[in-house]
Amino acid sequence: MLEIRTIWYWYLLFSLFLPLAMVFGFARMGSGLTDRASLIYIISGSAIFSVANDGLYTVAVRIGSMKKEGMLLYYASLPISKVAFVVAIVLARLVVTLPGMLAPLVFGSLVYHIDLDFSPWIVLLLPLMALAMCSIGMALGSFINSLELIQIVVNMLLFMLVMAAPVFIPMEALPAPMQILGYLLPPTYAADALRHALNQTIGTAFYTDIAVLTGMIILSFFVLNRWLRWQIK
Amino acid sequence: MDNRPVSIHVRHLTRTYPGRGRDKQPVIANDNLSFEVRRGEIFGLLGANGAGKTTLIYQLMGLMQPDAGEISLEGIDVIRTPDKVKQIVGFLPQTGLPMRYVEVERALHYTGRLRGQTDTDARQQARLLIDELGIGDHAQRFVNKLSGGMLRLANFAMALMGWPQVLILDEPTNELDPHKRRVVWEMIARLNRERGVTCILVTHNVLEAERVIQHVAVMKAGRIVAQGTPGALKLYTGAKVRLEFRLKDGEQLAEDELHALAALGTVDSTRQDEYCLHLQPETVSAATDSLMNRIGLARLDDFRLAPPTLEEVYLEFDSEQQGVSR
Repeated sequence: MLEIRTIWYWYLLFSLFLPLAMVFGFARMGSGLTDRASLIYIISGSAIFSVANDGLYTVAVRIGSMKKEGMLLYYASLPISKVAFVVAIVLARLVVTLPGMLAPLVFGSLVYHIDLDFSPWIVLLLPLMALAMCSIGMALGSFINSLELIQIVVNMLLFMLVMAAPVFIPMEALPAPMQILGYLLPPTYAADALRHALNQTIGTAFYTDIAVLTGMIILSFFVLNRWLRWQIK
Repeated sequence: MDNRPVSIHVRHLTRTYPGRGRDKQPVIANDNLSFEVRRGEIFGLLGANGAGKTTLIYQLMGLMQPDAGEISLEGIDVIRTPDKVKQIVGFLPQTGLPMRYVEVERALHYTGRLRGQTDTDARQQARLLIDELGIGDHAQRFVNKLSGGMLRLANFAMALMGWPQVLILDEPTNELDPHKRRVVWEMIARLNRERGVTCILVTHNVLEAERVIQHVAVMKAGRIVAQGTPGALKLYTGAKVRLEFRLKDGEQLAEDELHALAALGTVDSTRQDEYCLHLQPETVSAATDSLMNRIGLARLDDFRLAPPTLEEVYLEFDSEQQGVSR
């Protein structure tokens, strides 16, 4: 985490660039997507994608590199619990992902002049989203042995999040297999919850999203604590 | 007879790696290893690359499960409760350590905190180690900006944080210059002397490590082929004392002088004026007498008496497998 002290401006630039470019570009595709419903999908999807990129990708690759360079083994030799290690990595990432999560909401609202409801629920939702993504990244980085394979899998997942998951695309517009897959992915619930929060439609669906997201985070922490391989096979 | 209590107790330890490639032959990294390390002992683990040393220390640290055997470290069953071992063992692996993007002093401080030290204790020990290892000029530099040698020294200091009872050091002097190597050996000796730290030392720098090592195990192809004190191993291998001397310019040994020396030991000569006499310890006195009185100091440019080294013992065991035990 402290590495950010020296190059924080680069982190900030890159974490802002991607979601802002998405909010700007996606709304201008074809003849333009200017209706509120589409813009909400673009804005919330960009925020989710930003978290996925900063959390999932970075954490997965970081864990993969640590394994490759033998550093995970060093942490394993210290008298710290696995869960403390997992929480430290994930929380450190949370701080870095925050600007990228917030930027599309503010930028989208200002550029497209749409009223978004910045519900207090967003304060809870944003860390939940980040934790979910980081823990998936942690799991991928931990369970896949090769750093190269980690990068391929994570890139594929990110691509899927944009093009074939209910993050930017409404669930009903996806083919059945993708819908089933979508139900298994935390970003689906994060994106849906964020849309509800921004539209001020807090209700059963929103609470269900939050509950599922929380459950997924707890499950992933449990799985990581139980099966994280920082020992040598 | 060493009456110190046993700190590390290893019995019939076996670890096999699954085979890779077409033939899929499993590789036996540790083959039925048994040994003891006494509390407060510096135990040298010697062996060529691939001998199984690193596999052994990973198992001692609880970082790898053996296929069979027992490991007890300060009374802790390492196989059943690997996490308990980490409380008392400081580990320096061959690979670089994390915390590369922080200052050296901060890296030490954080390591101390992770090892359960209070903030004050961690800061004090970090300062102490920085002073004792002579890395004060680099204390505020980022770890990733250090040279290879300084990085190794900083990593060595990280392994010492928290004052662990047991140290496992894998090649602690890699990449260090002679001065810093000496600093590391002296620090290990001092920790052992003053704090009674038990230390397992894996090194290829046998010649220098001999200064601190009290007990040795030589590993070859996953097995311990010899173990004992350096002195006992030297005796066992029959390692000889060397009397090396060089004659002054234009001087040469006469036939009868050469025969007199050859009667005491084996004579090697790499150059016309340079000789090396390999002697059994009991003939050393006669050989030096012959050198002083028969050849004479006036004809000698230089001479030295070299006792057998642990490195010679290691090389001998490494080249031919023999068995000797404590």
